Amino acid sequence: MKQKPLSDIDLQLFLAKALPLRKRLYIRILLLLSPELQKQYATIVAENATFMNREQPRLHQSLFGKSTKSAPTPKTSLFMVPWLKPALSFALVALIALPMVTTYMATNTHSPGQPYYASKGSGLGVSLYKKEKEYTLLSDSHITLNISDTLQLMPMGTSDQFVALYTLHNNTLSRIYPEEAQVLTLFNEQTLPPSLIFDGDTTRLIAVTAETQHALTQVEQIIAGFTSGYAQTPPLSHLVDNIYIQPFLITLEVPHD
Amino acid sequence: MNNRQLENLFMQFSPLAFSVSVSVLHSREEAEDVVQELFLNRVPKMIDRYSDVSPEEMGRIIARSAKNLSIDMFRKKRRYPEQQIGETDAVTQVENPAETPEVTTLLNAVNETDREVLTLKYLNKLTWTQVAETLGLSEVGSRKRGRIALERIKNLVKRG
Repeated sequence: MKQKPLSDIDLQLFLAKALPLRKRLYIRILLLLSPELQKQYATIVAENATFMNREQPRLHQSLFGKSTKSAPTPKTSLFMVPWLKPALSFALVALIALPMVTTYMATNTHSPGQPYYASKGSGLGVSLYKKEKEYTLLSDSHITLNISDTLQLMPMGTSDQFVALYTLHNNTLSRIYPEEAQVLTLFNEQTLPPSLIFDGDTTRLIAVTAETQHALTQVEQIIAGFTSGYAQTPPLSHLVDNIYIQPFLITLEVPHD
Repeated sequence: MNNRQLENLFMQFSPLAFSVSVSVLHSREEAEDVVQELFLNRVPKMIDRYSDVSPEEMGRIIARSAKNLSIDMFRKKRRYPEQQIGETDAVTQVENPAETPEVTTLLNAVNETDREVLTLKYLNKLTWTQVAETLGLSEVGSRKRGRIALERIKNLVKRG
């Protein structure tokens, strides 16, 4: 059977989920089977990322009066962010340790005593790692930590995603990442959110991921409608409008005598 | 018209609209103007007019409108538009995004359950365990169905 080559617009319609189900499935299968199409797809994704970084923030600013551009990444070595207190139980720490993570990911080797990290598949979602001399995967959604333990979020899959992080503390929802943007922020193995340091108060960390950009107002509306689910132990994950919401309950570790 | 709805449509479909426009105009600056005009004047009216269409259909309507606006702009700015515009990707694909014979042939090569397995696994990105639970199959059975279906399609594409 002769296959017509797919055009860039076919792939754009696919990416925007603006095709009927059968045609989306057709393109997804061809993407699995054709390295050439994978290259074409990667180019389109890169072009979209350029648009999202250049034209889209300007357009958003002119249409809605606010920019989608993310705040610049903090560059100091270590800091506590005063505006996050007292509502948050986490404080952002700088990205000083991230090169260790990304270097490790680039080599992707794993030996005893080395941090272990491996993205697999193309699924949505985050994995939480406790950062010490090595990285320990925290596989439960109820996590116990010591004061000053540091957490790092990693993407569960290898595809580009968009992310936001919130804490729900004393029924107050606070966004901790991105700081100033109005939309979810790009998230992949090379672009990670800052590490988080635990200050000892029980809190719920909510990680929001999606394959496409969404306005944070929409995300916050969804979270606000599901707070009883997050209050459970362990808290419940859910997927709404292709937005995946993963809550983690984080409590102080009780010392054993 | 709901402003949040407009913002969500902008976030979801502006890359598509921009890409369609660039493919007609070959200019990022002009395409940016088209997208601005589209979401400022046209999409708000569409939200009211097409309130009952699915999001995927709305995406195609927006893409079609981006194409038409781009052609209008092309004609305004060039002296001999008819000689230059041609049948671009945007013109043909946005007009006819529905099922082509290739899609039908390829997908009909596998049965409905296998198509559901492929849809859940590769479009909805479920794990094999979730695929099995959803379809009432065993996990091994789901994997096997997925592998055989993909193999069958692969052979069909290779024969191309």
